[in-house]
Amino acid sequence: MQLFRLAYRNFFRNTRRSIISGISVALAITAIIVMRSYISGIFENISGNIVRLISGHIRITTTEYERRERMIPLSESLELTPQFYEALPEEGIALTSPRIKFGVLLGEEELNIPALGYAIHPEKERDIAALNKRLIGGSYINSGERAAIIGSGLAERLEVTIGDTLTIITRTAYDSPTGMNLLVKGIFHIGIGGMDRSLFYIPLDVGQELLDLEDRATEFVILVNDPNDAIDIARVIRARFDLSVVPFQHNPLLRYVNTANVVFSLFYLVVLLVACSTIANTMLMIVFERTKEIGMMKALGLTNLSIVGLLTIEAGIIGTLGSAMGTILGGVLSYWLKYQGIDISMASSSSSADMPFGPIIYLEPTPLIILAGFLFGLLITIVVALLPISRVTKLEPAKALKTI
Amino acid sequence: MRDTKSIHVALLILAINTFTFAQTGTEIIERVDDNTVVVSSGYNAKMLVSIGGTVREKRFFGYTEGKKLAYMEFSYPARDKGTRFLKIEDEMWMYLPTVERATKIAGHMLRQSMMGSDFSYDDIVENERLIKLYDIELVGTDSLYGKECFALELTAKVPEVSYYFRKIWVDKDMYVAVKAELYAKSGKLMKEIAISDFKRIGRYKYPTSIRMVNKLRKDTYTELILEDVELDIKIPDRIFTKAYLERK
Repeated sequence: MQLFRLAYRNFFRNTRRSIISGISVALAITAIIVMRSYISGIFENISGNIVRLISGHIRITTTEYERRERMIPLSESLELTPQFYEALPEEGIALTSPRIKFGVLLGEEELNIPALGYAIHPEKERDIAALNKRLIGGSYINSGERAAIIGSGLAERLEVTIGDTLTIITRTAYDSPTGMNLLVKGIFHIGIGGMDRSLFYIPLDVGQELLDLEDRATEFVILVNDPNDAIDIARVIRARFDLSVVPFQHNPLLRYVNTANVVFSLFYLVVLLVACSTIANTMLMIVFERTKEIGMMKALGLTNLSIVGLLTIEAGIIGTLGSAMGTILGGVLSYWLKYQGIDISMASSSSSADMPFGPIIYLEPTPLIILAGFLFGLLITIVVALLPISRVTKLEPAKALKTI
Repeated sequence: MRDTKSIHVALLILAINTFTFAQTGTEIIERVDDNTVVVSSGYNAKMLVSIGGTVREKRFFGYTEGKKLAYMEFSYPARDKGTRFLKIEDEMWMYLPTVERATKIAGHMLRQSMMGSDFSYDDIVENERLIKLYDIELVGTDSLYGKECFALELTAKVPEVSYYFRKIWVDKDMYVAVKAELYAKSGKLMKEIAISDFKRIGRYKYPTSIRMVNKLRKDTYTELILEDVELDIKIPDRIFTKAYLERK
């Protein structure tokens, strides 16, 4: 108790130094919490976009389609029979929707603008891709309408607007040329450049007619009640069908983002090293300034353990206050940006459809991230303080007293 | 007297054989070209496209004039009815009745499958003398489908060919190609053609039953059967126009 009182008094002996040390710890912890929340936000953003726009929580395709997906082989489609629907598990599934992805070349005279079409079930997709909420003009498509909603960038490239006719020419599942004139009913803006520049959506039944894919689809997406159950539900479905059933967690893109986390971890390390060196420097100053005082304590009979304890408590006070400040600051900032978001539309407008992130990153702080930030700040302060402390305890009291 | 006759027969056979072997690859292909490269043609065609064991029938009619003009119009099945193609020089246009306007097919697409078949657009409208496009080498003789054939290898001497290298087997009696293998510049076998029927039309021995296998596709082949073939006929100029292609 005596040591605590002494350490507390020492903390205020040089207030400016203590505050600077505390602030450097606070800033490091703030940076770490905000950055961790930001990375988590990017991950959530990408996985959210993948789930909504690409694969759902679970995506079913034929194995051959998955293997040759880059070629978009319409001939490798799924047959949507009543038996198929009946064989899906009843538990845990919230929504299902078949989709047809198809490549087209667009252009007025000559076909020279490549684009990617999706034939979707308009009503079901209101709760999945939710493109009705991303329209910047016009209205959403309905089943049976020979109409399309197209990306803002694609509309610009084709110089078409709402009410114009979009002529699409592509190939059927049997490789015959096919085409259709569609009314441009709406223009959407997702905020991901690659998607806005190349995507358009048409009603599923119209797509089936266009592509000679009656009662078929190239992919079948499922939204589950609890995303954490996606892997287990996918396993159940896989056991019932000889098909490719992929939960979103196994999406190669998300795996890639996970790998990228390692790179971000290196960035943490740099922030951490800066923080550590500031803390170590402060503790060195504290210890060496007070060498004489430590010699006196030793001469008066204070044990090495007590001296280490005293200085460790001092470091702990700085660490606790600094970490607490950093945690509060980092937490407040992260939660504010969780709701406010960071607009990265400038960057995402040029991003590819293969890396669907943006246009607004909402930070994803969690109690675990914040608690870990606090504990980490406290621990690292004490650990880096122990090095100069251990040196000073080795000094002879007489030598220490002679120190200027 | 009988001996003298035998000697004459032997000399005649020798002369024929000598003539046969004296022929160069170029001369053989020239005779093949004479049989297949026409001034103009009109035909009805049936195409049996087999994909994974399922055979789909398509019917169309067409006209060609030289190597620069070609017109095709599909009449069956209902889904493809009214789909038309027009080739003028090196450009090809496609008309889809559902779109009601002609669209130009980009150059690289001419080498893609035509109507889901193993034939490309280029394959269907090809009507140019091979001797102008390839260096030709006679590599030997072979027996194929019970016929004695010349085996020839053709290597492109101009860049604008669909297939860089061809192996062709030519029937020694009829001077028609009965089989061909078409290769890319990389040496990859792309297509195999077998011609099983010919019709003598005027001065031509014209192939009328052709089986094409695209080796880049899995489990497919296409049989093209030409019917009512008319060669070196007068075709009205209006047929090879965009206006005719886009007619209602």
